[in-house]
Amino acid sequence: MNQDATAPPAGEPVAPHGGRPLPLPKSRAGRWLQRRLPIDLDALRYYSNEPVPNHLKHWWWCLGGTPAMLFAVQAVTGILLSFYYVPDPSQAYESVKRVSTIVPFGWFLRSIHRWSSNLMIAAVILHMMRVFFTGAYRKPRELNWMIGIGLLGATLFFGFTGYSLVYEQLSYWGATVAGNLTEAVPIIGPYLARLLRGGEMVGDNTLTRFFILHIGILPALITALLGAHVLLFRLHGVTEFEFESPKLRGSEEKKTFPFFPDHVMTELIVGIGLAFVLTCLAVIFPVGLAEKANPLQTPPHIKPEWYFFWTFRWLKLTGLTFAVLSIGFFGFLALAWPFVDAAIRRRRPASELSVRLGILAVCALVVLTVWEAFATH
Amino acid sequence: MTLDQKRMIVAALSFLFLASLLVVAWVEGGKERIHPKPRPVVGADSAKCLQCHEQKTPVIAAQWTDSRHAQLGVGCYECHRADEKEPDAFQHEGKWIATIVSPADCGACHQDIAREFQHSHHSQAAQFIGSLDNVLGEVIEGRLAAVNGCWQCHGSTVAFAKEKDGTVRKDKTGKPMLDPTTWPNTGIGRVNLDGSRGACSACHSRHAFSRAMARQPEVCGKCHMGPDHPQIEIYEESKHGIAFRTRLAEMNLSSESWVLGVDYTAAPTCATCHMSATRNQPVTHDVGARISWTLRPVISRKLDEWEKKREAMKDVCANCHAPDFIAAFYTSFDATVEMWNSKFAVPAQSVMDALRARHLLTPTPFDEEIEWSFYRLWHHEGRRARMGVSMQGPDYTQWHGFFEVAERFYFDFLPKAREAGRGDPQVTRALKAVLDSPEHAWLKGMSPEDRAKIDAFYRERYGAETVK
Amino acid sequence: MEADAERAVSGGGRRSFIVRVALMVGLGSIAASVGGIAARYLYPLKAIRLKRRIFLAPAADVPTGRGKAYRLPDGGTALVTDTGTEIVALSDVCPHLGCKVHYEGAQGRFVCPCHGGVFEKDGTAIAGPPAEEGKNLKRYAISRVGQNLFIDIEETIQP
Repeated sequence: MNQDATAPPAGEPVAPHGGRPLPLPKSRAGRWLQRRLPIDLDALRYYSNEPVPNHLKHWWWCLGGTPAMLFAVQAVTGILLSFYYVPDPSQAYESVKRVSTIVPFGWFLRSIHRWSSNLMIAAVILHMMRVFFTGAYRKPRELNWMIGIGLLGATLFFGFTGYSLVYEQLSYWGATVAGNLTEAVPIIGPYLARLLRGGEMVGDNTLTRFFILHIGILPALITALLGAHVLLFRLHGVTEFEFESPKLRGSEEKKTFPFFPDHVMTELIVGIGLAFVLTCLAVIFPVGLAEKANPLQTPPHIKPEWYFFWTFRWLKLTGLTFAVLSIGFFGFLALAWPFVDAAIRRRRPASELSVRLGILAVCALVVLTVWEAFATH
Repeated sequence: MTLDQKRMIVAALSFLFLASLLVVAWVEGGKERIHPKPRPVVGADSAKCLQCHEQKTPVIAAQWTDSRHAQLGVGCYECHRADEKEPDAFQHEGKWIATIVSPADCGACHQDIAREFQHSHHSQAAQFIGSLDNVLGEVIEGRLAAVNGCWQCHGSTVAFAKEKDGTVRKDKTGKPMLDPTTWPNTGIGRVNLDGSRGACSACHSRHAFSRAMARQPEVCGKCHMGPDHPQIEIYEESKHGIAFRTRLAEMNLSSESWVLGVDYTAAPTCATCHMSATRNQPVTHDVGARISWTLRPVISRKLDEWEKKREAMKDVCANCHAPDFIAAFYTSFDATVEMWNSKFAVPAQSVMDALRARHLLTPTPFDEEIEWSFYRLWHHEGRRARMGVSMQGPDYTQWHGFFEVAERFYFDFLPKAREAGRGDPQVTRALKAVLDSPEHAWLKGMSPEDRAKIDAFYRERYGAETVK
Repeated sequence: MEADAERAVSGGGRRSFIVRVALMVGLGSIAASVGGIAARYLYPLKAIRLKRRIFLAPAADVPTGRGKAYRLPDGGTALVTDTGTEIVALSDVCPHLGCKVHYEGAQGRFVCPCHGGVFEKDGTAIAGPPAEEGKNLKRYAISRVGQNLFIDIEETIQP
């Protein structure tokens, strides 16, 4: 190695834009790699091993990583399932049946995929509630909140398209109802509905579009949004918690703990725990196959998946136009809440209105969901 | 929580997860992979038939598709094809076909079965044209009663519809029309246009032609039922029928090989005893091959080669019953039929013979009440009694059988015979011969002592108030 | 990731070491099992080779001396001839390089147009490359049921 540390030896790796020379690893293999992959390992270590605030030792804070891990599970199981799924109305149902009954472990992977989708949606909702009730959406994190709403929407859309691909009765008629709801959106509704369905009615084009949405567009969208989401909260740093319990405060000097390996272990516990729970669910409650889609016959009692129960009940209570408009309004409100909240707190700095409204919204959603769950019509 | 504690939890969770994966592997190993049935094989000609008929007659197409024939490539055209020269052949979408598929057509593949069937009594079922039953149906009741009643089981003689000038009526496509009083008909003795007798679809319903269906008693019961030969009712009353109904799931009806004692042991059906295979006998479509008595006529008699036939039947019985059991049954059965013969049939016949010999009856059948009485005695009640004992249905032997025989004989037939006899000496002699025989001596009167015994029994068994 | 975690903290003690080994074994086994499940899932099931006996034609329909072509369910063709002594069903695929043979009435033989292979009515190769290589036309087993002919075919079903 060169004794003069000011001028880098010719050909040796340096940090980008004429920066300092990168330290070379001791081993030959290491040096071989470093020359071809000139990563500043110190910088990497610094950026990745971010100190994690102590309050993250609370398990409640794992709700953010949970949907991300479940998304990874979905991606893996989804890719595997797509090896056997055929997105054609005359073959879709049979291909799902084939996976569930003939392909080895097909029943298992499909059940994991279905259960994981339910858990992922539940986790996203719980995470969102955590973020809301801890005020972590406030300035300067408004953008991240909006990205989160985007992620929630994408996840729900994932669930909807995925369910439609099975081409059971509920798939077909659920898609029909969704199309009709979309049509009711003012001005752009009909165009949007036609775009979604690929026609005036749910038909061959619809399945193809849902398939591409489900395996192409939505994964790309979620990956992009997720990347932005992680980048933003890494840049901002995890929100410092105002109220600290004496237990978490720990010693005055150490208000944080290292990401590697401590928080990684926590994440692993959550991850493997999730894998275990999913496997149990898949074995004890395997996913079956209901009646095949029959465009000529609407089933007598039709219900969407549980995460749309609130929409369905709201629709039944208020009628099509009002429901669509009100849901659109509340959706917009949710998206823009950081700014609304900021406006409120400018008037009344100590206001707890956000929390109260949040509790009200959660209660309303729970009531609507439970009501629909138990109602027969 | 320290880092090491976290590591321990991760390790423990990993092993827990691995254990759950082992359960998954175990569940997977236990799964029975049911592969869908191989696709039906459709020949080029039959495929053309299906193009239209899948829409026009979807159930026919569907039944055929699920059938064994479809797996073998035996489709529409393979069965319905006809030679141009055949009288009922017609052109349809460019091919010569015929509507009726006769035993000769089925016999193109199923040769042995068709041959056995042509030799059996079933194929002769329509051959009662000259009989009294025929007069009853066609004349006295009305021809259409025979068309839609008798012939639907016994079989019609298929004929063409005729124009006024006697030529065969054809529809606008040139298809010769069949006389609607002769077709549709799947009577088991149907006389077909090609001369063959029978309709295989009487038992093997089209277009599934299912083995399982043909082995079930219900198929036989369409015809073998009713007041004059209630075989299905007798079977259902008997222990055989009870065993069948209560162990239906174990009958293995769809199995290709259906050998009693090998492929199934739960219960016998009609087919089991009268047709199906045992370890020592192959299946036969000659339903009379194991029957020793004919219980049809007024006076029952043993059939030709009855010993051989009885041995064949006993071979079936022996799968479930010990030799002593079988021997005792046949002794009792024979004796009961002999009792019918000697106590009721021969005497009644002798009275009728006397009436006819003395020209006391008109030549017209069924125009006098005594003829109906006699008919009911031997054709209905007498048959019920005999068949009841033959297939172990006690109620049919007794209450639907000999009880009604006795009532008919003593209080309907004999009084009517006396009346029809009008005091003629030969008839009176015949009647006296009947009443003098020991079996009928009871009519002369019971002694007061014997009567007292009966009263005493009732008093003791059911209480004093039951005897007045 | 777990390797990094291991190296980052220099923990001491035998217990810590056992725990770390258990961790590695556990995580490694998980990876292997999941990989195994995915591999078994993806690997196609064995094709089912189904031997079937199916209806061919009424025996009376088969011409003497001339091969009549019948389409088989797998797309292939059987050339059925009554040679006088027996009824033969031959594949129409030439065993040399796969061209389709046809019947030449004049010669009373099957001829392959590609390289001049010639076969007798019963499928024996008598001239051309097939004869040189000793390869005859493949025979299908024919059985007679009553007045009809049935042919044995082999179907491959990929579940």
